Amino acid sequence: MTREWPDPKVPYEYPQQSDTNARRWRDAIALALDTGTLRLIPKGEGNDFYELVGACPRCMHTLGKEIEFNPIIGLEEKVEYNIDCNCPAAHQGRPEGESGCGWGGWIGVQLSRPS
Amino acid sequence: MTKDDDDYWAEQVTTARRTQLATVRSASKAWAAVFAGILGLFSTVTFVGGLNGLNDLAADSQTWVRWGILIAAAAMLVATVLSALASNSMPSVADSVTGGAFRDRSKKLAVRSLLFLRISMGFAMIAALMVIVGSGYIVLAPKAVSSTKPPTVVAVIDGTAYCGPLTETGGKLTVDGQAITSVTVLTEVAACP
Repeated sequence: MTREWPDPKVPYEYPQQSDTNARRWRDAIALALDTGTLRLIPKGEGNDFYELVGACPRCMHTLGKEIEFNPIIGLEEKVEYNIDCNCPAAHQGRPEGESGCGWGGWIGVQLSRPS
Repeated sequence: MTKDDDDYWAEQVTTARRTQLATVRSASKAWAAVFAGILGLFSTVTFVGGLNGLNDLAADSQTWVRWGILIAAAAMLVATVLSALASNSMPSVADSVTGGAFRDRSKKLAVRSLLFLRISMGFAMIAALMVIVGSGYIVLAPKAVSSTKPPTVVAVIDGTAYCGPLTETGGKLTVDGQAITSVTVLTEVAACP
């Protein structure tokens, strides 16, 4: 049974490889960006660095990640990013040394530079 | 992939992202070495080494090939300078030593280096194309028919010395307009006094 999101009490869970999980996370991130619960805040004087900050779509705790647009690392222009929940809040079942509620992981999410 | 693998590759992306300036500069150095190699070939193989062969071409063709040599040399020079600019940084006094400023500067330099590298590769391709086409032309083009220059001679005719090119007029050999009929001395010289 799929648990409803967001829920601050969700146990730690690393997402299983499946299209359903990928779609769920991508849709949740897109919705969070649309509604402003996640925001891309510019960093520095250049146009490429942003901080993705706001509430994890799954556990609603605060996550943060540096996002660099147009990285020169031999990848195509259309870049997907791993957006992991790295909240410090406790989640049942989380292994020692890990952070967040576990979601994000392998799922690539496309981001657009804010206009 | 397992979570460990996912974490490892995510870390590799972060590392690659943080070393992109070094990556671009390293690539530029490698390309600069390639350009230097092409330049070495350029100076030792046919196009420049074949300048002697250039003299065998017709005059019009020689002009075109000379222009080709100039364009190729200029393009290779630009490519070499740009690849050097892409692979090296000019030390400068910083107005900020914060992490954010250094990050922004590194990205700016990486973008600029990549631009220089791409332009230099374009110029190197132009130079290489000119070398290949020019060399091929020198090797394959028909050679101009060489015109034999008449020898310059001193001829003593009836006690009078005449100097000039030995030519043929009306079926008779002449020197300086004088028909050689009873010549006592005929000597080839480099030039007339």
